[in-house]
Amino acid sequence: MDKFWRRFRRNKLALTGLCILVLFILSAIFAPLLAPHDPNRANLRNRNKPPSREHPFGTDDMGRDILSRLLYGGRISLSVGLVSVGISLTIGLILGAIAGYFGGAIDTVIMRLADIFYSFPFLILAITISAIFGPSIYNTMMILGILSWPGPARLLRAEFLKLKTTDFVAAATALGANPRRIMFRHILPNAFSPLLVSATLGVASAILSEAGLSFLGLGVPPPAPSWGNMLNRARPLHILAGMPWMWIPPGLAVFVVVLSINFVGDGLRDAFDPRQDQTQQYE
Amino acid sequence: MWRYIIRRIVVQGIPVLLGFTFLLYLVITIAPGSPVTHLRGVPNIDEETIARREAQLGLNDSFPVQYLKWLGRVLRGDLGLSFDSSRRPVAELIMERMPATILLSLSSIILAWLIGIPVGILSARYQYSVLDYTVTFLAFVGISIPSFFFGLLLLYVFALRLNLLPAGGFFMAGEARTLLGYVKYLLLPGITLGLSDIAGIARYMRSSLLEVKGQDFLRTARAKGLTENVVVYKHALRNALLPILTLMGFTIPFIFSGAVIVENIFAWPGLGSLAIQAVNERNYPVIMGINLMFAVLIFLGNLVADISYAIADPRIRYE
Repeated sequence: MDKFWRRFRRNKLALTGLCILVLFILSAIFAPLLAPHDPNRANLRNRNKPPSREHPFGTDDMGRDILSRLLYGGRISLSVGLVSVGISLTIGLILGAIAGYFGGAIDTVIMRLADIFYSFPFLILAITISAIFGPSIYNTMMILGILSWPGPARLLRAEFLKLKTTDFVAAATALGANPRRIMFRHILPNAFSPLLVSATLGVASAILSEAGLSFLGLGVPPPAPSWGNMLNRARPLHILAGMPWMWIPPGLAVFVVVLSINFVGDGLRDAFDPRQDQTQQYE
Repeated sequence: MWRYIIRRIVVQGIPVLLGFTFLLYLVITIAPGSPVTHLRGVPNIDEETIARREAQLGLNDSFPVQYLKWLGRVLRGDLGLSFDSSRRPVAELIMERMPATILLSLSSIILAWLIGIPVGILSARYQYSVLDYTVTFLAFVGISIPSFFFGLLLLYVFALRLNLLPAGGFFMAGEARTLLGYVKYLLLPGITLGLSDIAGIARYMRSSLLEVKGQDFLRTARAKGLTENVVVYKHALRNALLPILTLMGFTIPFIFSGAVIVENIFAWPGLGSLAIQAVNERNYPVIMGINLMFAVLIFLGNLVADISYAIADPRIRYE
C-alpha cells in the first residue's frame, strides 16, 4: 500500500487530477452551503444577466443563478456517474465471474450477449430506451448502468480465467469450499486492482454519457440542474453567440471532472502495474 | 481466406445481429401504449373495430410469432411506415439520410487515422521528450472533452465569431456541390466527431510502438548498426501497426454514437438527427429502423476491419 501510494504520487498528473476531483466532490457535497442562491428560483426580471457581484457566473434565460445551478448540477452529474457504475459493476461482476469460473456453454451465452451490447452504438440505444421509458434521473442511471455491463464483465472473466488455475484456488477447492465462496472470497479480491481502474474510468465515461444524454434532452430532465441540460438550454444561436457565460462553465465543468478522473485512473493503473517499472528500466 | 471471412459472418456476425434485433424488438414491445391506444376514446370507434384492428396488426400473436413476422418483413426490406403525418416508408426515410451520415463518419475516421497514426509514431520515437509529453497530455484532453462542448466551442469561434465557416447545415438548395463546399461543411463536424478518435489512436499507436521497440529482433537490428530511424520506421512500425487495425472495428460504434450528438449540433441531415427527431416524436417504426440500420453498418464495418486484419496478418487466417 505504501509502495502503491509512492508510485501514485510520482505521477504528477494523477495527483493533480485527484486534488481537483476532491474539490469537485466537496463542492457537490456542500452545495447547499456554497450556493449563493436557490438553483431553481426563477426571476424573470433578472434574465440573461452577465456575471456580476450578485451572480458571479451570471443568470440564465429564466433568471436563475448559474453558479448555484453549477454546484447543484455537480451533485447530479457525480451521483449519476457513481450509481450507474455501481449498477454496471454489479451486473458485470456477477456475469463475468460466472462466465469465467464455469466456462462452457454459460460462458458462450454470456459473452455473446456482451458482444451484442458492446458492438452497438451506446448512445443510440440509450436514447431509444430513454424515449420509451421517459427521461428521468433514475432512468438515466439505469440505462447507463445496464448498457455498460460488458466492460467489467469481460475484464472479470479474463481475471477469473487466469486466477482459477492458480494454486491457492486449487487449495481452496481441495479444502471443500463451495464455488460461491471460491469466486467471491478467494478470486475476487485478487482481481481488485484492474477492477478499480476500470470502475474509475467507467465513472468518467458515465459522466460524459449523462451529459450527452441530458444535452440531447433525454437524460436528466429540467428543472433539476445537470451540466448536460444546462448546455442544452444554451443551444439557441443567440445565446451561444452572445451569452457564453451560460454554456462555457457547465461545459468546462464536465471536461475538467472527466479529465481529472481519467488522470486518476491512469495513475492507478500505473501504480498497480509493476510491469511499468521493468519497461522503464528497459528503455 | 474466404473460409475465415465466412466463418466470421456465420459464427460471429449473424448471431450478434439476430440477438440484437430480438432485444430491440423486446424493448420496443415493452414500451407503454400500443399502436391502437390512440383509437380508444375516439367517438365513432367501438371496441369491436379496435379488436379487428388489433387482429389485423397481428397484436394477438404471441411474442415470438410477432418477432418472426417482423423479421420476415425486415428481410424483405419492409421497415413499415413512419408514424408521423407523412406516413412515408421508413426504409425510404433512412436511405435519404444515410449518405450524409456515412460521409461524415468516414471523413472523421480518415481524419483520425491520418492525424492519430503519425502523431503516435512521433510520440513513441521521441519518448520522454517535450513532444511526447505534450501529445500524451493532449490525448487525455481529446478523450475527456465532451464532443458537444468541443463542437459548440468550434461553432462559437469559427462560425459565430470569426465567420469563417457555416454554422452547420449541409449545402443549401441550389448550391453547387464543389470540393471546397464539401470541405467547408465537413470541417467542423468532422473534427468534432474525430477528436476523441485522433486521441485514442495516437495513444494506442504510441504504446503499440513502444511495446515492439523493446523486443529482441529490434535489439538485433540495432546491434547490426542500423540507425534508430531505420529501426523504428522500417522494422518496428510494421509490427506495431497490426494491433492498430483491430482498433478500427472497435471504434466504429463510438463514431456512430458520436454522430448522433455531432449531427444534432451542426444540423447535419443524417441518421443521427433523424434519430433524435424520431425519439422526440416517439416515432417507433423510425427508431426501430435506425437502430437496425446502425447495427448493419457496424456489422459491415467490423467485417471490413476483420478482413483487413486477416490480410495484414496471415496467422489470423489459420487460427
